Amino acid sequence: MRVVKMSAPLERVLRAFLDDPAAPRYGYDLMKAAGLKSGTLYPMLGRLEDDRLVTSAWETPQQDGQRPRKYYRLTSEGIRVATLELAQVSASRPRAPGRPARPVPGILG
Amino acid sequence: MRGERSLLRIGGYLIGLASRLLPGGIRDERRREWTAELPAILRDPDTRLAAHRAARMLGYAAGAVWGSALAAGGARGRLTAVMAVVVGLLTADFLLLAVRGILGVANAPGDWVHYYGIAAGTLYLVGLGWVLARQIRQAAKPMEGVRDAVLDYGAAFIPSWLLSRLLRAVGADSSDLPGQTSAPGPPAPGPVLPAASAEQAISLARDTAGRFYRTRLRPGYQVAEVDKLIARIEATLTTGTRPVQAVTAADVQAAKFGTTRLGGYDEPVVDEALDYYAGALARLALSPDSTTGPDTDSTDMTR
Repeated sequence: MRVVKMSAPLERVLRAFLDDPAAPRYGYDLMKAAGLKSGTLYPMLGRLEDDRLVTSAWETPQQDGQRPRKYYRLTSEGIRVATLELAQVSASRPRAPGRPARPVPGILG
Repeated sequence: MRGERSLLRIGGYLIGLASRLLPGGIRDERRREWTAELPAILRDPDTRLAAHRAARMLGYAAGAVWGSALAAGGARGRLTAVMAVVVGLLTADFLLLAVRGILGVANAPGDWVHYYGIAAGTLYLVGLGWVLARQIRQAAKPMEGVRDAVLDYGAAFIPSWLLSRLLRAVGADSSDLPGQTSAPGPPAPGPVLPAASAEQAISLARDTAGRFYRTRLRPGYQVAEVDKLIARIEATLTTGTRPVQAVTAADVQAAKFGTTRLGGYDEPVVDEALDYYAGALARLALSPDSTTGPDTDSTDMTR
């Protein structure tokens, strides 16, 4: 299994992804959901993509002349790794204040 | 929104600066991606105030410059050095301001200018201390936190266009960044599954087979059809190398499923798993003791 170096921003990104693993997420959505700056988020997304934990695709061009946006989502491997990593983080921080222990939605099974 | 066009032009200009700092392989793609986000941020329905949306959009573009600069491998060290000088000079300046204010108050208590000096110096130092504390808390090592804080705080005082000039001045433009360690280009075409062996893919498949994420209120793939294909793939994978595979990677790539109206297997998740299966099948077909392999193009999973 790949080793993901966990950091606080990465943890927030993974949590944002796992809120709905199947949903395509735009960079700006992830910034809002994770509370990160674009300068932090995009290099991180690049690394996750290199590790094949995240895939990206371009949305199909719209009729209204908007430029197509690029969206990201976890791969099935990414869902697995993210779930495990976050579980480990929670386990090593048993009573983190202000972070209610709730099941991550959308876990396989 | 009023002034949208000129705002987008400024944002686009910053994005241009940002993408120029990136290695050639990902430059154009990132530029397109960021440029497409700008109007979306300006029209973000979650943010009510137009001015707020505009600030966010510009912050997004400026952040892209900043992130690209930091991602640019060897530039980080030089940039940190520059920022350390900037922050050092600013700190000295504000300290001087505060000290002069205190001395001034002692000598001439009635003069408000001195109080402003004290306030400005205190604000600056509190801000610096706050950024330092936050970054050190977040970083793995204290020194990394200090470095991040210096970069972060310095950036607050330097506009992005100046930053870009600065980077070029210290030779940190992307043209002389041979390492590109933290931002490699797009993955090479061809068999793209990384180290995973066929066995790993099979075990991964066992984890996911029959246990895909199911949609509830959205359309999905017909469960029975997906299960049937997966059963065939698994049979092929577990029986090992065969001159003619019962299911080839090309079959998997071409597979289509009926959809349900509500509930079913979540499509992207199934597609993703099938990509893994296709990779495993292709590797199996290419393994040395296989005589005839299926179409190897099917391992190219870029879509």
